[in-house]
Amino acid sequence: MNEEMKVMLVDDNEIDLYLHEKMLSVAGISNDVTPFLSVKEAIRFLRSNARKPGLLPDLILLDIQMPGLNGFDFLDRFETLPQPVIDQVTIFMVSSTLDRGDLHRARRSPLVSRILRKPLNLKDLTTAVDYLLEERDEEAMGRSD
Amino acid sequence: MSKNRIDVLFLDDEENNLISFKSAFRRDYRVHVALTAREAREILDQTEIPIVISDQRMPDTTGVEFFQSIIDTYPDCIRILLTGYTDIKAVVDAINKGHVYRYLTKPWDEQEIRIAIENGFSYYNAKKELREKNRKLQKTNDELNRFVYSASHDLRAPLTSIMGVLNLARLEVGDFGDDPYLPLIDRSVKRLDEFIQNIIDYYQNIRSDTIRNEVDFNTVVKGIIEDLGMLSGKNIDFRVNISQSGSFLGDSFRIKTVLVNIISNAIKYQRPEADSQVVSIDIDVLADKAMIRISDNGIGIEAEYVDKIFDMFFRATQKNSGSGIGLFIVKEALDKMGGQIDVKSAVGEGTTFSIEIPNQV
Repeated sequence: MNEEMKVMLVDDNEIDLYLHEKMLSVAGISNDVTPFLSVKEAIRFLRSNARKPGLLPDLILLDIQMPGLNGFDFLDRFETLPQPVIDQVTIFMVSSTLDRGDLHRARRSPLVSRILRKPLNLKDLTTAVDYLLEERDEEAMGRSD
Repeated sequence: MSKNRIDVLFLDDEENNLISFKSAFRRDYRVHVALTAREAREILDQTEIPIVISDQRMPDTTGVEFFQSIIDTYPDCIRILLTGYTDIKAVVDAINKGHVYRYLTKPWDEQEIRIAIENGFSYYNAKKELREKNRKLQKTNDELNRFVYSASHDLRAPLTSIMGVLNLARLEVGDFGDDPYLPLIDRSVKRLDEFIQNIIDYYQNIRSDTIRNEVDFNTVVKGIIEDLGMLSGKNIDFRVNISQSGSFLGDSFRIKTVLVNIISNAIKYQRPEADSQVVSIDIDVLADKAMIRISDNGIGIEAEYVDKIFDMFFRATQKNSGSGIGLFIVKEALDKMGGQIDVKSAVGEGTTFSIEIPNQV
C-alpha cells in the first residue's frame, strides 16, 4: 500500500483518542486519523460513506468498554454494512480490559483481526500494522496472478 | 392464644384417630387432618406446615412412603412417624428413607407428642433461619465480588491512560530525558496497575469455573518471559528447560496466572549486588501431571515468614513493590485446579517453588 493509511478511532475517552492519534503518527503509520467518541457516530459515518471507498478507513481502532453502545455493539452493527465496507476495513480492538469473557468474545469474532492492550505501545502497534500490510500485499498479489 | 399457633398436619386412615387427635391438640396448635396421602399433599400445597405427623400403616400407602414423596417438595418440614407396631424394618426405613425427626408409638402419649411438636418446631425455625441467613450472606458476598471486580476495571481504564501518556512522553524525549518526576510517576502507576491486575485476577479466579484446554508450556513460558523480562528492565538470566512430549490439558488461564506470579516474584526479589541474576524454570510434563520448578538466586524468604507467604495481603519484605496478593492468588488458582505448591528458601541464597498441576488428558 503506497498511499497513506486512513485510520478511524472509536473510543469514549478523549485522552486515549489523543494518545492513539499521536502514537499512529509517531509510529509513521498514519497522519490521517478520524476520532469518534461514540459507536453511533462512527457507524453513521461508515454507513453514509459506504459507497465512497476513498473516505472509508483502512483500519479501525475500537475500544471495548464504552457507555451506551460498546465495542461489541459496534461489531454487530458493522456486520450489517455493505460487503465492500466490511472487505475494506480492518478492525483492531484496543482495550484495558482483563475480563476473560470479553477477551474471549473479541478473539472469537471473525471481524476482529487483532486485540491490542491499553496502554497501547509502539511495538505492539507497529507489529500489528506491519502484519496487516503484509497480508494485504499478499492478497493483492494473489489477485493479480 | 395470642401468639401464632403451630400448624400441624396429622395423617391417619382412621377417622376416629383424626377426631381424637384434633380434640386433644386443637387448643394449642392449628391442627389439619387428612385421611389419605393425597389429601395430605393437598393441604401441604396450600399452607406452610412445619410439622407433619403420619400413621405408618394405611391401606393406600405407608407413612414412610408418604414422607418420601414429600421430601423433595417440602424439605424443611419436620416429619414424625406414629405406629402401633414395633416393626424394626419400618423404623429403619423411616430413618433412612423418610428422614423422620421422631418415631413415636401408638397409642400416643399426649405429652410425648407435645414435646415432639415443640422441639421439632424449634428445629424447623432454626433450619429456616439458617437457610435465610445463608442466602443473604451469599447475596452480600456476590455483590461484594461484583463491586470489587467492576471497580477494579473502572479504576484501570484511567490508569492505562496515564500509562499511555507516560509512554508517549518517553517516546518523545527518549526515556524521560532529564525529567526527575516522570520516572517516579511511572513507578507508582505501574505498582498501582499491578495491584489492580492482581485483584482482577483473583476475582476472575473465584468467579469462573475451571476450563480445560490444551496447554503448550513452551509457548506460555516464552510469552511470560517476553512480557515480564521487558517490563522489569533488569538483565535476568532465564534458564528454561521444558520437556513436554505428550499433550497437557488444563486451565490455561489459571496456569498462566500461577506462572506469571511466581516468575515475576523471582524477577522482583533479586539481589542487585549478585554477579548474575538467575531465574530457572524447569517443567516436566508427564501423563498425569506437570511438575514445575521455578528457582531464583534472589534475596530469599526468612524462615519465620515462609508459612505466611500464601496469606492474603501478607508481605515478607519492604524491599519491593509487592501487593501481598500474588501468592494468595497462586494458591487459590492451584486449589481450584487440584494442584499443589511447595516452597524452599534460604535468605541471601534464593527461593525455589515446586508446583504440581494435574494433567486432565
